[in-house]
Amino acid sequence: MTVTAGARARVRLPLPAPPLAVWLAAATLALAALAALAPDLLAGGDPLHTDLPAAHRPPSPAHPLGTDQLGRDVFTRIVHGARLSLLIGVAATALAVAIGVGLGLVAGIGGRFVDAVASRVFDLLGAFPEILLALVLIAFTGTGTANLVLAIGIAAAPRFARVMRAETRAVRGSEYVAQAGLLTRSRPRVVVRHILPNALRSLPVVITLGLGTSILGAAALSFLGFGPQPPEPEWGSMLAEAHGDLRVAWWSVAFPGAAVTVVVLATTVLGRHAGHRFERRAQP
Amino acid sequence: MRACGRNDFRGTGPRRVAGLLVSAAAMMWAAVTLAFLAVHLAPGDPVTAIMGESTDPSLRARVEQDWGLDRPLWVQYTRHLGRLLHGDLGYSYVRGEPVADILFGEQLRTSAQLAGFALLIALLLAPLLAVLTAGRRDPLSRTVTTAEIVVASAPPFWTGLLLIWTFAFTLKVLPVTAGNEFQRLILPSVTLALPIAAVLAQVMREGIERALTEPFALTARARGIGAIRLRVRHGLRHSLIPAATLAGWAVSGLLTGTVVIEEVFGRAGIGRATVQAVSYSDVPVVLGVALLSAAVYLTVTVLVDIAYVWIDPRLQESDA
Amino acid sequence: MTLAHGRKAATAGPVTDARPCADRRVPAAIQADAAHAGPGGDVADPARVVSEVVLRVRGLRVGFRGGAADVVDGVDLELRRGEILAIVGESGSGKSVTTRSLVGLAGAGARVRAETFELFGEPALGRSERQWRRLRGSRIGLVFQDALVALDPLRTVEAEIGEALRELPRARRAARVEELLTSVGIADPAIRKRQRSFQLSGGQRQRALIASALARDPDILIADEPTTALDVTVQAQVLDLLVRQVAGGRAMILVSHDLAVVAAVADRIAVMRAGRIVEQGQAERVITDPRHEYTRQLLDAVPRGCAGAGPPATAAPILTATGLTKSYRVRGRSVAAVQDVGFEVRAGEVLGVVGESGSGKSTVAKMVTGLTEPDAGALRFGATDLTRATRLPGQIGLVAQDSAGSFDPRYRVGEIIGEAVALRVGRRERRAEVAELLRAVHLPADCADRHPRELSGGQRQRVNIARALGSAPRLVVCDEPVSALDISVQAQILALIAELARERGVGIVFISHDLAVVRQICHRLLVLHRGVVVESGPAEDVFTAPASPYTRALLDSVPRLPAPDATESDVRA
Repeated sequence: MTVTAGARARVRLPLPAPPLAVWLAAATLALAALAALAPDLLAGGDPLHTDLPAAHRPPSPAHPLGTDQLGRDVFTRIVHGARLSLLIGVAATALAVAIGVGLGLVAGIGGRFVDAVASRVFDLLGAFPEILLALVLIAFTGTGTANLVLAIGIAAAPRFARVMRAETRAVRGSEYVAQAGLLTRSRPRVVVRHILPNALRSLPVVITLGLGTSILGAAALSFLGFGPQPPEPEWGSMLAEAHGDLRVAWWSVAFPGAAVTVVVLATTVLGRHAGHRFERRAQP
Repeated sequence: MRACGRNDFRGTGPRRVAGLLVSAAAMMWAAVTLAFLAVHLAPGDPVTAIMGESTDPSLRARVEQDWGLDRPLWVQYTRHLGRLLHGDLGYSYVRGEPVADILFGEQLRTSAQLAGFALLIALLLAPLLAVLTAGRRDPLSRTVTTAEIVVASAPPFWTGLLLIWTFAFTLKVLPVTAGNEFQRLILPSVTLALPIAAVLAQVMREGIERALTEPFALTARARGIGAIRLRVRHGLRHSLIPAATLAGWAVSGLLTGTVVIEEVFGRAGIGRATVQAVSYSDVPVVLGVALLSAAVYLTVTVLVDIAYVWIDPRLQESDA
Repeated sequence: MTLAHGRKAATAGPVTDARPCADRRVPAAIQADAAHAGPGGDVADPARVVSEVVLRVRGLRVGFRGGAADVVDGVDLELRRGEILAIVGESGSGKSVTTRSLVGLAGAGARVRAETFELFGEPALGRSERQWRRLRGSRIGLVFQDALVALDPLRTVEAEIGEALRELPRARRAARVEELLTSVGIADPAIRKRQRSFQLSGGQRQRALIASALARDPDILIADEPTTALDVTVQAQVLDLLVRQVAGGRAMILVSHDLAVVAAVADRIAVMRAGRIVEQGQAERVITDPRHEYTRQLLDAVPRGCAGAGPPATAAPILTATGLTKSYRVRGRSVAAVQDVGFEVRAGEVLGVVGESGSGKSTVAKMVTGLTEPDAGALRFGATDLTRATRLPGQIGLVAQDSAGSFDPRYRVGEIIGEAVALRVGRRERRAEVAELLRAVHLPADCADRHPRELSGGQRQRVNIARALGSAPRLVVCDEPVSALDISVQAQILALIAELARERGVGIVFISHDLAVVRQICHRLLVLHRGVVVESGPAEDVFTAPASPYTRALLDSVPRLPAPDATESDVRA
């Protein structure tokens, strides 16, 4: 019934500086972006250059991460592979956000009927694992980078839609929205001025966390053979090519996978940190 | 993320259960309809989609006849539903077998073993890690927490390969293709279980830590109970609530992981069959797998929803 | 003995309208207190002999890692068997941290120091966690506020109490649990023990919580705000239960922000502020002859005034409600929240709507402001009927309890108030109007550029009021506007509301569960019980001569301090 008497005096502590892990994560992503946009700055060689006599060489000064089964330098291929590996994930996320956020907002703002229908649709799509949905789409459209982006993007959209719908509903139920309703008869005004901006505030966090999932999905699909075809360097397909040689050349498996892990890890760390900061800032 | 309708705990007991079952059945029906429509909505004509990569011209006529593509849509739909209820999931022209045979044979058993064992490992590991590390800041706990995030970020096919290299090739203690059925199950199950256990452990730990800040935790401590008891008797139960919302996600993860892990470990299960089907654009098989996974997902989530009232008894009473 | 202090004005805004009430009836609670007087009292209860010291603390200091100052800064306490020591303070005073430190539960990262800290004659500082665990529950029991969350909602009452009895063999536990539940006054213990905290009523679960604290018959019982979350009628019963625990040699520390509650039951009172005890002594003395400035402030802030008659009944009402009815569907059944409620509000008048939880007062608020539509009944605003179509924006303002969601987190104070002001002035005058409103609510002008989250609770409520007044409404609904505030701040906000009603001629519907607050500010009163009006009329009439038995019971349960001009003979009568 009653609330604890006594509001705490508001002592606003400044948000503490981000811990080391966050700086490292940001640096990692910056590095990855650099590799994607300007790989030659980091690795001068040619990722497609084969050198069969030098196949399956362990890491050495000449080849810091070793060579693969065709004698190609693993380090160079990883750096050049960043472009496709990241591009697919980023593009797919962008597509998913565009579709999902829009639908989620509509579901959240709309009346009971719209919300009921939309929720059922999201639930239905959510009953299929994302990669499976992507696989279904690929079965229809065939492989290739563009199709992969489309498949992953469409499969990931329901996830964003659900989150946006939940956020929007939560904002709708808050007291300041009720107060705003007293000050205007125009519902669109309340939506635009209060509901939408606050619902979208959580978006950066959601996107950052969603990016990691999409990158993992893209790598998985590439690994299964549905991504960029060889000899294009891409982390997932590099693992697919190398996995038969695991016994003799562990480096050709370890490092490409590590690249994926590190990038996804960085997005997760950043996303969680942003999430904590968002929660603290939203706390009155 | 719990969807609308899940938290609508109208009515009590049997009414609620019936409501959930009806809802799940409706979803399954919607999934079936979606799968049916997919063939017709996809770019290109349905026949090409169903045929896959076959180019046999006589096949065209056969497909058209089997699917009744000359009939109006609703007739096709009712035929499709009828067949489905008899267990007929269609025919794979690529492989020359009924889809049901492909899915419900030996391969299902292999995949089910893998997924089941992985689930078991995850369900044992996650609460253990959560209870042991909740609320603690010592180096070991921090290592575990960090390891969890790393494992959750790592592609499962990569961790699988690393585990193979470590335990099969280098230490030579676990087999990949040799040994008996159980031995061959260990590495792939652990690989599949790890990312799921990692996320579940995180969520459960956060749930326990949240519970530890609540007034009832203080009351419990004021009764003189110790740290482990506090976490197990109070925290764990509370952490089940957020963990249960992840049931659907966990099922999805298991199904997805099975596809990939079977490739890595060379197991002949449904995942393998799916990948092959996609490469040959064998739409009937792919749709069959999608429906199967939807059925598994819906079954698990309905069971969890029914169990939810037991997990959080507060939901029985909806205060005005 | 007359009171040494006069009525002091609060620091912001005069309490001009509140004057001593006509009613000289001595609250039953004060009479009971006379019977519980401790050593030196005239009437001593022979069963309660205050004797040996069980707790002695000198110079207690508690600080937290990363915190600048000590939260508890030099506290001296002494507790004897058979006595009730009350620690009174507002939020941030350190009273809860103090009590928790007494059982070694100050919290992670706490540094507890003291010159002397003895429990049962033995030094307590530097005890290991294991040693503390042996004391907790068995020799010291704790009761916290709000049993709904202080008992694990996922476990049965039996499991919770059983946890305290874990050393007892299982066979005997069940019987002992039922014994304990009966001893705290819970009927049907066999049924209740299988239920969980949310299935019990407020009073029952608080009793169950007390039972679990008493399970092993501790020598000391520490109760931290044990009745704050309870309805007023239940509060009296639970307090009574607590007081009875001190018989038989137990000692009790009662922590509260509510002086009235404490005055009724305590033997000794310690007043805490900012980590220090500013005054300590026999309860009666502290209440009637406070020596410290802060104690006097606290006493002054306790609402004791009466609002008077207000505008005459013949004036035309701004708002007329007739036959308001609203039901909600709960678990398939229809529950009537409000039934056939009618009332009138005039310009400059404050109408109080009181009731306990479940009385329907919030539903009434929602119907008046238009957030809900009534199922039946009518609302007339001036000359027009109020329906969704005829409502004008900004004609009715709302001041709700300050909560996390009161303000859009993106906006500053100026913009928030500006949104309301924009309804009646153009852009150019907006700034000036906002500044004017800030002045009217006694906030500094630079508040306009700050975010609400940077302000204190009282300041935020002022912003809430300014926003409600921004559109120049003729009626403002205040729904529990001061419930979440410290008592000294509460007094200021009440004064502000009364002042604004008077000066602007705004009608106010003031909803509250706190009768003392309502009495201070309301001219007329509406008493609700389970959605039905049980009594209505001029506030003073209702308070001095309540017609309905429910109102009488409600008034009797309210713990009150003696009226400012009470004489000794009144108190001792």
